[in-house]
Amino acid sequence: MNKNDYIKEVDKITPSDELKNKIKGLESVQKPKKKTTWKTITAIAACFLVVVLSLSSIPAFFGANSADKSESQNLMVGDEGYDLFSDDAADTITDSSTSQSGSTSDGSMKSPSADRKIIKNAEIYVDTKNYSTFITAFNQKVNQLGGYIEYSTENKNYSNLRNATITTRIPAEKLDSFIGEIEAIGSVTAKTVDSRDITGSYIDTESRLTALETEEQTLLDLLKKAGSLTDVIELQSRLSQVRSEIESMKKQLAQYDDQVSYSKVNVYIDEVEREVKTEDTFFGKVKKTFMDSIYSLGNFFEEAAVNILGGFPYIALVAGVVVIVILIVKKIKKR
Amino acid sequence: MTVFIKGKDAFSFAFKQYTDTVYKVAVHNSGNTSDAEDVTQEVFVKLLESNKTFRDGEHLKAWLIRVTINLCHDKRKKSDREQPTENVIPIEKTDNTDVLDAVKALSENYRNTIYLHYYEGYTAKEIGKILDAKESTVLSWLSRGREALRKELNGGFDDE
Repeated sequence: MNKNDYIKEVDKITPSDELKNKIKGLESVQKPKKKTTWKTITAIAACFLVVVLSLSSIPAFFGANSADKSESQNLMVGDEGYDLFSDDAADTITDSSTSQSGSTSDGSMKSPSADRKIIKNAEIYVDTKNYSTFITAFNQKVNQLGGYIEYSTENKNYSNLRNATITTRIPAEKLDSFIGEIEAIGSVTAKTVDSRDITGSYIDTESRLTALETEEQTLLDLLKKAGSLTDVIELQSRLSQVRSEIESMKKQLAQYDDQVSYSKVNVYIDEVEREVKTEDTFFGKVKKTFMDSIYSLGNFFEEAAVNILGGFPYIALVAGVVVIVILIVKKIKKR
Repeated sequence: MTVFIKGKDAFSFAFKQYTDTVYKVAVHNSGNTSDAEDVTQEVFVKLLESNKTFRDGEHLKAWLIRVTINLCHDKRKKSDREQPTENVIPIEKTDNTDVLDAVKALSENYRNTIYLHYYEGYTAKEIGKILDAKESTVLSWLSRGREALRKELNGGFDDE
């Protein structure tokens, strides 16, 4: 019955005339754009690659820096890489940069796992011949890893084969091993792991909460001093407003914490007569390796971008010094 | 008989025949009308830029649908990254829930399968080609999508 309603409702979705006119207009505009875009993209990509490769030593350097703060200062001044600027002026610049960029490097250039709030979710599609055994083993694994099942449903299809959809919550740090376990007990036909970095929103919410709590305290202090009844009523109403906001901020943070510490994993299980392990065929292997490399390449670029953007003040400083040195060397040569 | 269509011919053919389809797919996969309109335009820009040759109208249509779904997917990912907090469940439930809203609330593969099968009349095999999935996977999406709709709607979502 609802199917016909659906068709009627979809029938009503039509593009506006304005949109149609815009699209029609595209035809007359268009063209030589394409080549230049590709050229620019290739050029940018090439530059990016060069920068990334040449900077690959910097993250390692920062890594050592954040690993031990007390040692890092000596390391920065005495580090081999800075022997280039061994005259006094350059030394003082490097020294002051230690204290300044120290905070930047700690804040934004830290390894992503440390303080970042990342929500990791996954979807896994599994085929299995021994459905019941699989389900038992699956439940065991979930319990073993300290996870729990949030939702599950089971159906039978027309050829009497069962399928199930299970939503589980697994401690985030155990997500990888969980996926590994599933792969060990069933044949995984497809999987996606999705990470979302919510550090920014988390910090925002936290600082709003602090601000609200400060306001609450101020209001309480004022309330003690308030003389007239109208003042008291006004302060009370603002206070209850602030308190309800505080509550919702706290709730939001708790929700974030929950999402960060427990990954949501949707598992779609199909009972089959014959399992096909994609990794067993040549093309399956190629596909898997290819997808893995794309994923790690993605990670590599993400990390590189974080390092470059985060270390920008530092890089700019070094670049400035290099330019000055080159200019001086050129002048000396001219003489 | 195979008719090859290419470039501007493909564009005018697509504009006449499939603008509605592209827009309907975009609406199914976007949070709001303005995003759906943006994507519809982008799809046609892509078509012009690609200068691809199509075997026939069906081939062109399938390509348009796939590109539309991908663009919507990218757009959503992008806006999720920019405003992660707003990502949570955009559709509000009302007492007289529209069937369309219920379909849109399903996850990406389910809602597209439902749309392509029930509205466009594609078979599971054809849907598999468009969404790059196995026929059996599409069948399970279809049955699970229907199951989810049955829970959501009075009277289920059946073939009769």
